[in-house]
Amino acid sequence: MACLSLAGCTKNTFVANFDQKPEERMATSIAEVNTVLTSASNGWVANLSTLAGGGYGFYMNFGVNQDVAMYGDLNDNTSAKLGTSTFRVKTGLGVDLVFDTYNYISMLADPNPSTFGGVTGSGYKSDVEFIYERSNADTIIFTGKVYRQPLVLVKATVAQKAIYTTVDGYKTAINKVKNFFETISNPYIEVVSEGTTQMVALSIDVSNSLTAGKRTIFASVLTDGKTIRSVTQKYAFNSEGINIVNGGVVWGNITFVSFKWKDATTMAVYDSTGKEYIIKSSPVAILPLPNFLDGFGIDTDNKAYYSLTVLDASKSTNFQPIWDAIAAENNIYSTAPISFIYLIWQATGGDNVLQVRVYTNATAYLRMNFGVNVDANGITTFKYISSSSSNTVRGRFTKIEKFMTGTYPASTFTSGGTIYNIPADPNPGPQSKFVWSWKDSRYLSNGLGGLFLIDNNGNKTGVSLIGKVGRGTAHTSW
Amino acid sequence: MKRNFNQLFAVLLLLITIISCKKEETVSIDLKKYVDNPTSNTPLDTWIKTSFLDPYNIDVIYRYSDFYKDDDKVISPANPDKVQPQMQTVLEGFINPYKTVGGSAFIKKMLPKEWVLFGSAAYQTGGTVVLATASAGRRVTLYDVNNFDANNADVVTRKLRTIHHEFTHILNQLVPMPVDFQTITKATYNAGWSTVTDVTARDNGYVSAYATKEAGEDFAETLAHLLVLGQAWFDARANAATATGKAALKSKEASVEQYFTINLGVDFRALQREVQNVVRNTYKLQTTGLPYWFGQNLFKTMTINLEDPLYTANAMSANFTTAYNSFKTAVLAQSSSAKYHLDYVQFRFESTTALTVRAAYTPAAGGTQLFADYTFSYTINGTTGAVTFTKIAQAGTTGNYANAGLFTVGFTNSIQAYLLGKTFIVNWMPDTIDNANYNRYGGMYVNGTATNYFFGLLGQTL
Repeated sequence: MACLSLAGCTKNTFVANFDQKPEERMATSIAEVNTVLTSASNGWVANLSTLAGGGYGFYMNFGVNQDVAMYGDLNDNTSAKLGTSTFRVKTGLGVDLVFDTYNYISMLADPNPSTFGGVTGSGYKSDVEFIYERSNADTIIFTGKVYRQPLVLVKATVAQKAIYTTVDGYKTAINKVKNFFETISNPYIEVVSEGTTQMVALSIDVSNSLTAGKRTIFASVLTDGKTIRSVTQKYAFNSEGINIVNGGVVWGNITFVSFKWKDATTMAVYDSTGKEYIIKSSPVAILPLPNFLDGFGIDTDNKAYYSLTVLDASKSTNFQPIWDAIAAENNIYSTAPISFIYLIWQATGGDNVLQVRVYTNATAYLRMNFGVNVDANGITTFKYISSSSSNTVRGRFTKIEKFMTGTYPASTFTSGGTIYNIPADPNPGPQSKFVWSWKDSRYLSNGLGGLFLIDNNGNKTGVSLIGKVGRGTAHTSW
Repeated sequence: MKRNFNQLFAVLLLLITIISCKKEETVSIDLKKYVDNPTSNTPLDTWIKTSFLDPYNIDVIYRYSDFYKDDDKVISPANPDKVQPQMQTVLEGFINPYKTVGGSAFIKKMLPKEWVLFGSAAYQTGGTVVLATASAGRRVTLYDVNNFDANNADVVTRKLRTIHHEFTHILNQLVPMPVDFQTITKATYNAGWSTVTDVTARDNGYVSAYATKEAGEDFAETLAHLLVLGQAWFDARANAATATGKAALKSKEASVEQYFTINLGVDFRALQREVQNVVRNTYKLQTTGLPYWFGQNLFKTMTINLEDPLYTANAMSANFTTAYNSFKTAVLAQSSSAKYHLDYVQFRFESTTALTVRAAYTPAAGGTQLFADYTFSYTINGTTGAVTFTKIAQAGTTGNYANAGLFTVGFTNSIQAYLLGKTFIVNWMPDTIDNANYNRYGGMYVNGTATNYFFGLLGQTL
């Protein structure tokens, strides 16, 4: 009993499992993070990924009075005007860094879309409170408390600080990159990977769109000549170019991590080993549209497009007369103006039947099916098969048939109790020939493409039916 | 002996146990200093300390802490630039009026001790947003501070209404709301308040759709509207409602007044006046100005009887007094037998353009009071309050108009001469009016000459 009593009491004597008491260890951790944050004399280059949107870059300076000043790449204002607020480091699940008053980083977390966009109630799904993960000599890494996105801060160099602290320095750096991608035609890099040399097309979306903004896309046709590999990753601007966040773009056994200026006009992509890939320009699209059209109507490789929506606003200048003619012909029979033309591959016809629809509202009322023939050079021709709708048949849309095939025959239909006899095309043309193509080089950012009429020499005539290339959903606005 | 030894051993053992336990060192884990209570020393923090913490022991928490928000809500932090303007409104539109009327002891006891500010509204999963909450009788949380605009009267007063609303909850948590209030429109409380239209709410006797949610919200809404939007707004709403709705609104007003004056010992009318002073003069909310309500033709009569003792405490201007007394003399002189006495002069605003100036008079010997009506037209600018009068042809020849004929000359040379050819500005007046009459008196002064004015008792029915 004596033993028991003695033992019981002895066991209660406090022996720390670690070297220090909990509050001492807490104090150490807080002081450590605080000291690291406030001791970077050139400030920090920060990269943040948002859960719902893209990546965002910041330049931050933490002061000893819990004050923080930052620039951000959200827009021209945040990249040019220094935002000041407060921060604190506190205990939580370990050590937390809280941006506890409003600054650019909170704009991404703001649930009110009128502040910076995003979804009502959750914004870009970003945090203002971050949990400390780890640090080394020049890097400190946090994770968002709610949305678990990484916030990576790297100590700025003297040179970087000089750019960020110059008037409009960050903004100028950002705009230089934007301008590079706006003016370069079909940018790509050559990558030796998996035993072949690949031309990898590059694209960046500089918008703040939730679904596509602040992301870069790397895409290439694989050796089979038709399969597309594309990798999308979020990025942030920094003083030297672009930093790809979330671990970079993983391409085979290469990981691309950044875009930097090689000289005043040349940009290069860098991988995680520091290897350089100069960004080159191609006169033609690296990824031709027909490659994406492979598998029309049969969505097997998850990259295929199989519909085309042509709104009044997206048709080419040279399609305008045809659009007007279609609209005028429609006006003879209907008071509802046409709103858009829609092309969709018919799954029942394999890859051989394309349906053209004319909409006056959300309901298609013309459906005209064309047989498709593609020759070895990719030249596409169409042959009328059938048309259907509740009260309309072939002769009501002769202008469409004329465009697609070159001519139309005589026909008869009834509308509103009136019988219409439509004579055959008085000036029958030769068979229309087309190629599928993107509207311009930056296909990845705007997705516009379509049918381009070509002459007998295979050259584009300038007449084209251009719209949003999609995956079956009619777009009424974009 | 052996037994004794055993006993001794037992005692010894006990002693050892006790001693050894006593000797045990205290494990002191002190986490107190990690209570998350950030402090800094910016000019803003100093202002908060001298304005709130020192005088009222109020803690203003504007730095984000998820402890102060619900886990299911997404909120962003406050912009420090907006904190002082927002809290200034709290001070001048809320604390100061209560302090003036309720006294220091009252507010020190009743004021919520924690004011938490967040930058955005609190978004709930259902899509609705929360603008403010009051909890535990001690904390008010204000959201959406980043959209505060001190120069926008609508934004400021909307916020002020929210603050008064939330404080009413706090008061109700400390002193229960009157039971009679809860029965006034018991039948129409509706948890699905967001689908109730404003007109339906009004006709059922509520100041807002939100008030239809439950008695507690109704009470807070009624009070906040009476204080911030003012009595004229409240009366106009009551007048626009159905008879039932109007009666309910007026009953609620009476109940709220009683709660303050009796239960809390705070003069409700004085409080209303203090808040209105700020809303009218500092924030210049248009809908609390008398010009606006004259433009709406809410007030249909203005009655002036210079013999009323009220005019002893609140002096009428010399110019109008002269005109009034001159007319009074003319009325008396009209008949040496009847010796008519001018009882009052009443402006009857029949529309926003038609006006009758009525003189009420009685024979010296007593008997039926008679009226003499003079027909005018007038213009009113609902923004500036500018008013001009024009004498037009009498609207009739019999009855009150025939009576008017008795004093035509006297009236033309006195009251009518005073009114014509001038631009007057409508305003709440006089400043010296007592609390009970604060919402009931108004008048006009000659544009540019504030010392030349007349004012009277306002009425909302002809």
